[in-house]
Amino acid sequence: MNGTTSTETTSTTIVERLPARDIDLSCRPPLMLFFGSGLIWLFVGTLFALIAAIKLHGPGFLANIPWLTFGRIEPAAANCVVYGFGVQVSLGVLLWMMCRLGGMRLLFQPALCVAGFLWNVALTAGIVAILAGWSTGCEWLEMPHFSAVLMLVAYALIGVCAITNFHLRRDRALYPSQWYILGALFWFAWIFSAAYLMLILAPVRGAFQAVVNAWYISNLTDLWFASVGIAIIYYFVPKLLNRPLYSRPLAAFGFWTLAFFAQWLGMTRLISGPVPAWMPSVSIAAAALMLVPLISVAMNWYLTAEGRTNVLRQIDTGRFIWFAAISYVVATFALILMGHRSTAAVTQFTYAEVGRTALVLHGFLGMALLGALYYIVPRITEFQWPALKHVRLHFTLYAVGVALLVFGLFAGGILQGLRMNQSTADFVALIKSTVPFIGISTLGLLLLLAGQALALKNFFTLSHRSNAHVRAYAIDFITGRETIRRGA
Amino acid sequence: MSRKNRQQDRKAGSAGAPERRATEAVHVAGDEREPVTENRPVPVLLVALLVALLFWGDMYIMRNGGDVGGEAGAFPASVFDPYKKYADIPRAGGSQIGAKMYAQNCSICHQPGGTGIPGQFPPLAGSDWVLEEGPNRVIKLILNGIQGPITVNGQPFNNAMPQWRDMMTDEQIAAVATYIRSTWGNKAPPVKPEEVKAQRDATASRSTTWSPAELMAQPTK
Amino acid sequence: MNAGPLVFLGILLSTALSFWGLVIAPAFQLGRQDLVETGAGPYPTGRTGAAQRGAEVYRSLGCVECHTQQVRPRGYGTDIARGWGVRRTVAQDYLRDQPALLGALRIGPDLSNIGARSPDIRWHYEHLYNPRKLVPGSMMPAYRFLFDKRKLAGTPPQNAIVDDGYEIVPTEDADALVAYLLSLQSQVSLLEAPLPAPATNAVPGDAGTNAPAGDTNTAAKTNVAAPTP
Repeated sequence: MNGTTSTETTSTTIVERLPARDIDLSCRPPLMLFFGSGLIWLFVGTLFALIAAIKLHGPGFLANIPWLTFGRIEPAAANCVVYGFGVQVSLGVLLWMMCRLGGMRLLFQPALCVAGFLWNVALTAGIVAILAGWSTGCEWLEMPHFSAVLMLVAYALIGVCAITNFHLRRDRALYPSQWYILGALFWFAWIFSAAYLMLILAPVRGAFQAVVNAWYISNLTDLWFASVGIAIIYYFVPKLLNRPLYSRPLAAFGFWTLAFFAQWLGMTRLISGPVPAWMPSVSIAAAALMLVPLISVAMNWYLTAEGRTNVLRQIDTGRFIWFAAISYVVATFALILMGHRSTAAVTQFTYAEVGRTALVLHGFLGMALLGALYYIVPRITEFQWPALKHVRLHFTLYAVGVALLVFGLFAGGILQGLRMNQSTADFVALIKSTVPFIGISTLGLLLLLAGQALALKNFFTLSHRSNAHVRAYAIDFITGRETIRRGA
Repeated sequence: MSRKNRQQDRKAGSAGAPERRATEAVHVAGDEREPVTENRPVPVLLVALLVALLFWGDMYIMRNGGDVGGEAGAFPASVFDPYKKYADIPRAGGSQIGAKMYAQNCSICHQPGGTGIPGQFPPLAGSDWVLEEGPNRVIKLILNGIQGPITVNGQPFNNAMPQWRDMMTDEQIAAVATYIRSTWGNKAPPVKPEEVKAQRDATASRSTTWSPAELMAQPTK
Repeated sequence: MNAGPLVFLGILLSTALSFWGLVIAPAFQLGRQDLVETGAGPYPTGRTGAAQRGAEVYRSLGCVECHTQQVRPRGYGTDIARGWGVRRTVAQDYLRDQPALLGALRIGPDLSNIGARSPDIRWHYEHLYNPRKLVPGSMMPAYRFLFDKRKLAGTPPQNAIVDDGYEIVPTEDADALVAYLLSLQSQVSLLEAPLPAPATNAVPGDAGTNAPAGDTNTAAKTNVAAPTP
């Protein structure tokens, strides 16, 4: 591959983008750290979730170990997957996309590596703390002070590096993914620090804690994860199909409607809760308005891929992206349907809510991040996946696993809610009747774990080879020898 | 693919340095090209949907806790049930004193919901005694109590209600009278402290409880 | 849409608007709440000593993962009909809860009024030690690690469970947790959430059960009932 500089003309300026190879290679050190640790956290988190799910079949399972009691292992699982995999791998993918779209290589690699290291240290300490009992009690924010502060420091470092990279980009025109990336970079910093301040550092009083907590969870799920996933799908669908995105104005319309409406969600959790009635009402209206960004992005994706979805599904990454897109549509429809007083009377406090979160975390975000990871890693290391068949197998396991997991939770949850609303139904009996559906979800989790194990093996074999190569290259460079034949 | 890589590895240089994969297989055609966009306009129907949903959303919020009859202003913090009207909830200020007085003093007999106990204590909700337009009889009743057989809403009662003259100030009696006249569906004009003072002065010499006959003879205005 | 700073400004505006609307504005409303005077003194009373330590144990064990502490109004779900509460919970109830653990999933019953529903202290200890003995089929794990099992020697301590030659003595955490559970009550009549008038045909021993409610039209009962799950 000769290092040609591709040039494009945008209106009056000529853009001198760096060759893709240079950009990719510059991303290698921090991104391999983010991705490797992210995959480990995903596996650990799903393992914890599996233990928790088994406890729902038989509460005596590992019941005597305080470290593994349900009330601790369930939040530990959530935090592992959300922060260890969700946020960390997202940051890696967003950085890469930003560099590629801006035509500029990644700067500040050492700082980013330090940030990744800090993030993982903070998370490890936090998970251990949760299992040991030092939980804050706030959902998805159970990690104590030191973890949250370290994570904020690490994120600030990554954010500053990212914004500087963005500022120094060569291609000044912005592709829709970059709007979402900008939003994501800012939004996590804002919601995490505000939630940390108002719930952990200087807790607000009483029921207001539930308000801030619900605001945080909803923003993280339906704003931040949505932004990351949408950015990834906007990037890969046109790229893999070699077609332009259907409509830029429609993409802008979808972005701004998401930005302005998705942040008002969250109080649907507190329908008929101890908060003034206007708050859930505002969130219900916002949930209905989410139909607009949903249609916008779905239309854009569908019409970009029109007629060529089977081609998309033939490509390894494309399969994951396709599934992620469908998951996003289903999850947002579920959000709109469940965000209404009449439906919430059934789904509130049931597994259905857990199921929707699982669909977003694994079906939408997980699939999108994994698809991006499978695309990016060979390019930044210049090593092919050792077992390409396992990539395809991973997708199949994951697709079936997510379907089972989400179906089990939704069906179980709706049953739970319907029966809970019949005051004559004995509570213990109705919970028992949901156990078969939890069984389906547990099977789904097992399949997810199997897929993740394949990914781990693939990743670390590749990483080992790549590291060995880098070491050999470094030795050659220092000693002046030429043991390695540089490829074309 | 992996076997080919291993063969290439063996053919590679010394020191066990693994040969690199095939760069060509990694970078597929089109890798250099970043996605671009086209400029088709936003569908008008989608914009129309947005406007329609905004309109619906606004109406929904107004009807469900957002706008409650104007007096308290919009988005009150004390309306927890979305379909409730603010008028159903005792308001802050004077009404809170009235509600507190009622809870502390009156609800023991007349019950928190103003229902009374059939045969024992008359109801206040929908009571013809309470709903009279002029408040003077009600004020006098509170000041000096009542004892003897009465009829409330067609039901007979025969019990004793204590005197509150020395237990509550003019403001407190005005507040509690306003409260019972504006809660549980009652809609009678409020009572002012000056009116209570006037009635108190007018009955200054009275120390005994009213009998029903005496009280009914009193004017209401 | 090509200018980074402009896009960022829009992002900032969207965030500022929603943060103001959903967090700042409610802070003015809910943040200004204060204790209210009721017949029995200021409400809510707040927790001290063992009950507050118990709140920490509750948080540390993650009880909030399965149990909620919010009662929905009559007519919306069956929280009140099941006897989980006598009235809906409102913001005033949580004013002095630190932390306020409202919960979001019900794999177990609601606990906001458990102190009034199940006032028997021994029931709580036995339930924590062996839930399935008291509630067959219960999904709750047995919190054996909150207790010390010792050979019976002489008279057992006050709250110990005697079982087959052993005495099962609650640790400090168990004592605190039970004290906290007993302090969970939401039965005070408030302006925004008044207690419904008690029914004159109240059936004692029937209130606050998750078993089939005999008469779902009966108004809430304020009398304390037998221990129930």
